[in-house]
Amino acid sequence: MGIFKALRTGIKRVNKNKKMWFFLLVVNILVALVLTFPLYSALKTSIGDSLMGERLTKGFDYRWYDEFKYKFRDTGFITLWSPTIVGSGTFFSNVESLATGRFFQFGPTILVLMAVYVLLNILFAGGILGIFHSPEEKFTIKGFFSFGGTYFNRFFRLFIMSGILYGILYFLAVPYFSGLINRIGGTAASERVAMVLGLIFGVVMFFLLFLVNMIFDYAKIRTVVGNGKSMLKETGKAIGFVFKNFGKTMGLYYFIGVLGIVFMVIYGVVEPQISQVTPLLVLLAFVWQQVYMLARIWVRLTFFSSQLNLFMGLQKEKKVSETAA
Amino acid sequence: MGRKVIVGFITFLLVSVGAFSCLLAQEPLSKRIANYTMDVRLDPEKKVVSGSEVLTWLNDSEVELSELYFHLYLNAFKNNMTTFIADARRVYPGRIPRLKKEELSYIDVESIKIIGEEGVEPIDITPTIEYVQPDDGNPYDQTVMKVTLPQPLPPQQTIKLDISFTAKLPLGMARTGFRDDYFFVAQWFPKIGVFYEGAWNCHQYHYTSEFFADYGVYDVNLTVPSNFILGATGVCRSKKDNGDGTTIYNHYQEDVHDFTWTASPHYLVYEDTFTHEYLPEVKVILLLQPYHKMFKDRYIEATKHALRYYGEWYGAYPYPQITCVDPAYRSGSGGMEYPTLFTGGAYWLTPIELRSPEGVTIHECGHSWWYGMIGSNEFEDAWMDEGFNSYSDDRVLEKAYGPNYFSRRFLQIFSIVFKRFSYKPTWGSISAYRPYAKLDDMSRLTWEFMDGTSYHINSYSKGAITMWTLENYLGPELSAKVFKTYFQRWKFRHPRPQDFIDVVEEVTGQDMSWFFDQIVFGSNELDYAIERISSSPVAKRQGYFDEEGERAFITGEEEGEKEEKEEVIYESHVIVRRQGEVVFPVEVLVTFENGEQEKKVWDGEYRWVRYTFNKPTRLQSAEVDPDHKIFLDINYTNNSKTMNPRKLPAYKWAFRWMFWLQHFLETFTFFS
Repeated sequence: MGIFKALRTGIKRVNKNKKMWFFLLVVNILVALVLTFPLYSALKTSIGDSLMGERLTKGFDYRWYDEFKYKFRDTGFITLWSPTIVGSGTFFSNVESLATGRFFQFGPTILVLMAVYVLLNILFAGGILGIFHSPEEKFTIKGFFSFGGTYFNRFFRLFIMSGILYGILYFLAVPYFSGLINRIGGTAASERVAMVLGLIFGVVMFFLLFLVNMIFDYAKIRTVVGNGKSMLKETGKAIGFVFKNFGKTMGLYYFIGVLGIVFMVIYGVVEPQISQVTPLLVLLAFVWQQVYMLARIWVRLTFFSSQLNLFMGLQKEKKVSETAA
Repeated sequence: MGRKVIVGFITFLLVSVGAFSCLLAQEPLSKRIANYTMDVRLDPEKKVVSGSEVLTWLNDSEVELSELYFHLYLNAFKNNMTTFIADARRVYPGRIPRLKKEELSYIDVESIKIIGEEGVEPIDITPTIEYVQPDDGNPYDQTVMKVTLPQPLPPQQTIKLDISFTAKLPLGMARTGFRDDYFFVAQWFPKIGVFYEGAWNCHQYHYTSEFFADYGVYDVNLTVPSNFILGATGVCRSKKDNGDGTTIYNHYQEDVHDFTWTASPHYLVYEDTFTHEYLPEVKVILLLQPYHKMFKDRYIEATKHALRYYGEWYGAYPYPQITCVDPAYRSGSGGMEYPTLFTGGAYWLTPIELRSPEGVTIHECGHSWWYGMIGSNEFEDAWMDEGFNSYSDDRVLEKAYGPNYFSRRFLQIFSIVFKRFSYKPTWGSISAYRPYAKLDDMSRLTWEFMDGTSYHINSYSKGAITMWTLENYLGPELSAKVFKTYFQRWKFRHPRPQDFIDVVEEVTGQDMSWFFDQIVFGSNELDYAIERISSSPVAKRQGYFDEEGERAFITGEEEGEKEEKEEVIYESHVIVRRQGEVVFPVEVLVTFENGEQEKKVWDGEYRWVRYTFNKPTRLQSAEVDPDHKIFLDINYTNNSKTMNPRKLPAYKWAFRWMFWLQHFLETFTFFS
C-alpha cells in the first residue's frame, strides 16, 4: 500500500460522507458561538450609537480598538480580539499557540471551551473512525454517536496518555529549550543565533508534536480495527507500526499537512479581497470563512481516512507476506 | 608703484574681510562654560579607561563659588546600594540589574589639581573630595563628588583643573559599558555639574533620569588597540599609530555638552552625505554590526530624514558630522542620544513596515535638537526633551514613511505586517497614556514619578500628545512658528518649562496658562462626550390657551391640518458633556439629514451644554472635536452619537473573531 493509494481512497471515503463534514462544522460553529455572542455584545456596547459605526464599516480605527481593549481589559477572552488574528494572522496565531503552548495563557474561559471541544472530538473521533471502518462507510447520526460511545472510554484513555506526552513537551521541553536559547542567545554575538535556535526549536517541537499525534492516530485506528482493549498495548503497537513504516506514515501525514497549508494559502489570498463594507460582503466573508472551515474539517477527516487505509493496507500486505512465507 | 599699492591695498582688504568673516563664522554657538581636554586610554582586557582631563570652567553666575560639584555616573553601578540600583528595585521590581563583580563599574578620581599660571605649582585639592547625595542622602551613593576650592572663584572667572581618573566600565548596563570586545563608553568621565538659578544642579544618577550639563569644547585624545574601529562625538582630527599595537585618535567638537565614544574591531564603517537645498551639508557616518549589513541603507535614510525635517522645521543641524552607531546585540547601549553621535537598534528579519530601525534612528537623531542643542534639564524636565522629541519623530515618521501598521512577530522570528490595519504613529502614545492619565503630573523630578512606567509615559507619551494637541489647537502655521521660535531662542541654553510657555504666549498673543497648568502641571483626564441627542417634530399645541382675551381648548388636530400644508419643523437637542476634569474649548459639529451642518464652539467649562435646533430636517449626528484635534481626549468613541447607528461593524468584527475561535478550536482537535 503506497501513500498515494491510501490518500486517494481515503479522500474518496471522506467525500462520500459530506454530511459528516457539515455535522462537524455545525458543532464547531455552535461551540464558537458560545463566546462569539458575548464578544459581539461587547463590540456592540463599545461602538454603541457613535459615529464609530460608520468608520468601522468603511475600515479600521486604531483609537476605537485601543479604547475597546482598555474598556474590556479585565474580561479575559475579549481582549484576545485583535487585528493580528485576522486573515493569515488566524493561522499563525494558532499554529504558534500549538507549538509553544501559549494557549495556556489565554485565560480560563477559552481553556474551558477548548476542553469541552476536545472532549466532544474525542467522542467524534470514535464516530469518524467507526463509520470509516464500517462496511457501509456511511454517516448517520445514530451510527456516528453509537461508534463514538463505543470508543469514547478507550479514546479518552489514549487522550490521557497522549496528554502526558504533550505535557512533557509543553511543561518541560518548552521551558528547557527557551532557557537554553536565552542562555546561548544571551552570550551570542548577534540576535541571529537566538533566532536560528528558535527556528530549530520550532521545527523540532512541531516534529515531536506531529509524531505523538500520528502515533496516537494509529493507536486509535488499531483500537477500531482490532477492537483492542488495552490502550497501552495499542499505543506500543502503534509506535512499532509508525517506526517500522516510518517513510510511509510520515510521508502520508506530511502530505495531508501540505494540503492543509494549501487551503490556508488560498483562504489567506482571497479573504483580504472581500472588503466587508456592506452586509452582503460581510455575509460573503462569513461564507468564505465557513468554506475554509469545511476544508479544514475535510483535512482532519482525510487524516483519519487515509491513515486507516494505510494501516489496513500495510497489515494486509504483512499478512499476505506472512502467509506466503 | 601706484598700481602695486592699489593691488596691495585691495589684497589687504580682501584678506581682512576674509579673516573677519572667518572670525564671524567661528563665533561660538554656546557660552562654552565647561571645556574639556582629555587624554585617555582604553584597556580592553581590564575594561578600564584611564587618563586625565583638563577642565576649563567658567563661573557664569553672579556669585563667588567655593565648591565645585561633579557627576561620577559610573559609580551608579558600583554596588547594590547605590541610588540607581535602589531606584531600579523600586520602580521596576522585576528588573534588577546584574551585580557580578566583573560586570560592575566605578570611577576613581585619583587627583584633582588647580592649574594656575605658567610656572606656578598646581594646587592639589584631592584631599577635599567628598561624595555628596543632594537628592536622597543615600550614603552609599557616590555619583556626585564635591571639591572645595582654597579660594572662592569670583563671578565670570575661569578655573582650570587637572583631573586624573580611572573608569572601570560595566557589562553593558543603562546605556554604557562593554560586551566582549564591543565598548560603548558613555557617562564615563568626571563631569562638572551645572550652576544655575543660584545653586549647583548636580543630581545623583537615578534609574529614571538622563542628564544635564553645560556646553563647551571637547578636545579628546583616545588611545585604543589599533585593530579597533572608533566612533566618537565630534570630528576626528588626527589618527596616529603608536607602534605598540595602539592608535591615538583626536576628536574635537565645539558647543556640545557631552562626549561619548565607542570602539570595536567588528564595525563596518559607511559614510554618506546629507545634502539639502538650503540646510548645511552633514557627513553621516554609520558604524554597523556586520550581521546588520542589510540595515545599512535604512539607517542612513532614516538619519537623513531626521536631519532634513528637524532642520526644516526647527533649525539647521550645526555640526559637520553625525555618527549613527548600530549597537552590539544585548549591549544595553541601544537607542540613546549623545552630541553628534547616537545609537540605533535593529533586529534581524524586521520588515521596513515595522519602522525598526527607522523609528529609533529618527528619535535618537532628533534628540540632537531637543537634547543636544536645547539643553533641557533632563533630571527635572524630562518631557521637554523626550516629549518634544517623541512628537517631532512622530511627525517625521508620518511624513517620511506614512502610517504604522499592526504587526506581530511569530515564534519570535517572522514578522507579519497587517497592512489593512494602519494608524498614526502617535496613536501608540495615546494608548500608553490612557491608563496613567491621573497618576502623575507631567512636570516632575524624574525619580519622583510613581514608577518607571509613569516616568516614561509622562515624559514621552503624554509629552508627545500634549505637543500634538497644542499644534492642533494653534493650527499648523502658528504652531510651526512657536516651535521654531522656541528652538532658535533657546538653542545652546538651558530652558525651563516657563520659557517654552513664554514663547507660546508671545508668538500666539494668547494667555495659554490654562493649557499648561492643566496639562503639564496637572494630572487630570480630558474627556468630552456627546451625552444625548434627540430629534422630533415640534410639539403641537394642546390644552387651554388664552388668545385674544378668550380661553380656547386646542386639541392639536387644528395645527395638524396646517402642517400638512407646511413643512414639518424638528426640534433637535444635543447635550455635550465634560466627563474629565480638564477644561478645554471644543468644537461640536451637528449634522442634519438634509446634509446641512452647524459647528458650535463651546468653552467646555461647565459640566455640560445643550444645543437646541429648530429646523425643517431631522438631526442625524453630533460630534465633539470632529477634526480629532484633541489627542489628549482619553475616550474618542464617546465623542459622537448618531440617530442611525450601524450594526454592521459589530457583526463584521465578531465574525472575524469567531473565525479565529473556530480555527483555534479545530487546531486543538489535535489533542483529541
